[in-house]
Amino acid sequence: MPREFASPELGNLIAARLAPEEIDRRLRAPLNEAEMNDVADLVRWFCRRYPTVKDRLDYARRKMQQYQSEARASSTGLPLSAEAYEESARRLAKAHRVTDPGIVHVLLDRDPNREEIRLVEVTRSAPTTMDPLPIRFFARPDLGFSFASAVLLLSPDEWAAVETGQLELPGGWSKSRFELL
Amino acid sequence: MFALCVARSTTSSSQCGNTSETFTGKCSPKPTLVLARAIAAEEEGAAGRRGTLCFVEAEVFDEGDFFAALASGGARVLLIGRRAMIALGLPVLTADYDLWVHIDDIERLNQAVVPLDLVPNFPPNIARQRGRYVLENGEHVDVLVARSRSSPDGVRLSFEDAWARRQELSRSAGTTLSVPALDDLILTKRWAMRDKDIADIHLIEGLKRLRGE
Repeated sequence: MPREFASPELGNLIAARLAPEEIDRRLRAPLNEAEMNDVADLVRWFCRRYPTVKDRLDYARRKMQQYQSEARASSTGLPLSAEAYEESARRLAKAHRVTDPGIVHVLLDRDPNREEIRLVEVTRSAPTTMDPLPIRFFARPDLGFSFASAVLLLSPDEWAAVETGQLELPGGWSKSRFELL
Repeated sequence: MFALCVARSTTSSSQCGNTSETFTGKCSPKPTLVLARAIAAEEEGAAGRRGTLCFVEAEVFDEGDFFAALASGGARVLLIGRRAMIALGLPVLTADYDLWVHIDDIERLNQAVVPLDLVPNFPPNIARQRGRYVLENGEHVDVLVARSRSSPDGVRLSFEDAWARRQELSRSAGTTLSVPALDDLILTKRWAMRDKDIADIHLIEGLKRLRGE
């Protein structure tokens, strides 16, 4: 994320010059073998997916425009597009699946106002308390994520209880809106 | 991936690091690697649904026309900065274009981009004195004007040498981009010496090694 779309504090950090001794320290620490392999993998992936110079430049431009569009909409308070909402929900769900292999289902409780992404995650990692509470997070347009989000973690047993009507969802959440992601 | 890191940051400082280091550089010496890896993972997953990703606004600026104008304008001009890194195959992002033009070719460059309505913020004589200027009209093109430039630690790179060693990349039929050799691109990254420049240098070094240079 370029400094133009970061908060002023982060922007200053990004743009700040490093002290000469810090530069020396960083440059004297070359990439190790694993990091070198990471770079190689990235370059191979990028060049395979975007094989020509034009493809790569077009990709970078498209991606930047996506960030700009989201940041602008967020800063003006205008509702973000349905596509952006959908895409962000799927990104979030995918990212959570990567870090929690215990996830069985991720469901989206679609916010009609497209202000908050509400995910229900049924995961074997969650304890069964029969008193689930959503965890809420702020939007971070400076990091390319323009929606506030809330995650409700349910164990499989809790999910079964929700399905049979034995467990009430927290206020504001509606089973009738759930969509499997 | 960004959202994941943000969301988990309130409960897990180790995962938070992957996001914050991208911006502060305090947690890892290679922040760009983290960001680039996140973009790669995200893009890989999005391969089957590109159509839903695009809500790009229409705009006047056409990058193809811009590079074609540079290629045909007769000015000795190098594409530097992250845009050059992208063209070379490194997955980073940037909002700007950075050019290094020969000090005698400012007028040619300015003339070449007139059809794109890109306007210099200083006339050539002032730009020569200042050592840089901007072409702008919605887009932001930073133009460096210098016979040579040195990094804070005293390593000097002249335009003439960088131009002689340049790589030419074919963008499309008839349009060639001139970018510095990888070692010279690293030197240009040493001019500003911000946190992100160090990370970029590591990426370029990785590319060098991949190419066997």
